[in-house]
Amino acid sequence: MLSLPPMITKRQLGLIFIGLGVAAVAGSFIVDLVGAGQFQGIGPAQQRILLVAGLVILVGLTLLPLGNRPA
Amino acid sequence: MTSSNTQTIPSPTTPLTTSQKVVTWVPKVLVGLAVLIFVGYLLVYVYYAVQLFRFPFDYDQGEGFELMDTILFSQGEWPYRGNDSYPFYSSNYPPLFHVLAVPLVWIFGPQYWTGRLLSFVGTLITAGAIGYAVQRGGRRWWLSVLSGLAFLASNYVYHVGALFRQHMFMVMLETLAVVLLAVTIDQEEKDGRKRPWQLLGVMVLLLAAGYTKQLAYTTVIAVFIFLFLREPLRAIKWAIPFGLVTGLIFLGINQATDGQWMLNAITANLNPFVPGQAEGLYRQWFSLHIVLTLAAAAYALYQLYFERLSVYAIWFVVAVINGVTAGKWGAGESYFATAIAASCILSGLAFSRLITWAANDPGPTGTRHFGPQWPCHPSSRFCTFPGLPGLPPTHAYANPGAYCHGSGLSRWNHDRPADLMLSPARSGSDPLRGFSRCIVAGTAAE
Repeated sequence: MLSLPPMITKRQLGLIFIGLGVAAVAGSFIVDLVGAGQFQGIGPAQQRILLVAGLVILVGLTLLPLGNRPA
Repeated sequence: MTSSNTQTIPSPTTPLTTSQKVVTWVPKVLVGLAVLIFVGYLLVYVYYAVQLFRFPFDYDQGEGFELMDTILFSQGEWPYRGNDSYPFYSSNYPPLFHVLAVPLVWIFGPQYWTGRLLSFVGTLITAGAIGYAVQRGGRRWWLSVLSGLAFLASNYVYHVGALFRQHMFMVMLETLAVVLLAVTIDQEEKDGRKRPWQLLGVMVLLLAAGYTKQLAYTTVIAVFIFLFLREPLRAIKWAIPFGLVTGLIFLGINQATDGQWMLNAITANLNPFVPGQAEGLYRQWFSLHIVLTLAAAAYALYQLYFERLSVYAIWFVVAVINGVTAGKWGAGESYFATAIAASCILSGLAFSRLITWAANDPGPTGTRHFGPQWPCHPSSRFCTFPGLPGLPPTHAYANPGAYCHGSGLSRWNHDRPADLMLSPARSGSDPLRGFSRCIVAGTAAE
């Protein structure tokens, strides 16, 4: 049975942000494995995705200390 | 109590000095001028729209398609048809806007002004909804008026608002959905009573927005993120039927058009992405709406760290992110219209909050209070600060996440009902006698 919290807290929101950021970083490299993209190494689109994903992870980390306050 | 915390409260009968008169009147004059300027923008917009209604030909490359769609619907035919056979025509857009224009075409014939009028009225309703949202949150009529008029004053709204294009009608439905959701959740959190019918209204408006233009998925995402943050299970319970109904309508139209709906409304819209176009439009949108955007972004950030995220903040962020789709071939600046509507509401609420904070404004309850504000240590559950003579004990502007503002429980609901609890009690045995107490109630146990 799926158990869901009654509401999302700041800490949980931070974890969601971190998860999304990590998924974006992973996804940007996975597309290389399937042959997408036209650049050797890290292309310009990947650079932008990594930058944005880094920011999202950073925001997520700063939300963790806010604990159980409602998001 | 230290003397530094003691302030003299001016008596209503004391005559004002010249400097006090200036301080009193200058803001009023500036606000009056601002309202006049924005009313001027409105008059220009109305004049432009009326002139456009009288222009008998297409004024924008897309108007002819929109009118053709409406004509086909008025004849009981689908506009989603094969491009390979005569008249080699098909529509890329969902049907609702054109269907609503059909009665006007029946009565007045295939005139461009019919759809232009519908779109124009849609922008006025959107502005009204923006003003209403800001009024609910701020209770300052002039700020509400300015927020609504700021939407109509946007270059982008001016450009497409009075055209026979469905985009601004979609924005109207999106705005109505978000404002109704904000009202519903606010009411529910105040009295603890669920309002499923109002939430159903939100879903119907979202569905209508999506079947006006596909881009409304942005607002659908924002609404469900907000619902998920507030009540994850409830969000899922509403998302399932919403998805089912949306999908069934989609399949129904696709079936009725022999697959042409899917081909033309979805596949044909998957155009190449032009990064330079996206970047250019982002820059243009930001430079043209810099005050609205910065104020909205700052308030969204404030809500992220110091209070609960409102649906307006989530809507604004999701819409701004979705602005990247303006870089799609065939897209344009109108893709930012949703972000502009959200920024008008959020910036209006931000300015309202700022004014309240800066001036200790009495607000809707009319309770006047003076004095400095004492921040609390983020780790502290209790926020203590000296009281002021002759005033109710609870005057606070407190952390963490705690906008604690007002004079006792009468202000509780207006400010931050979910985050804070004000304790007006002071007893003789209270070790904090002479002080007020602000209890941060972020978690149930606290």
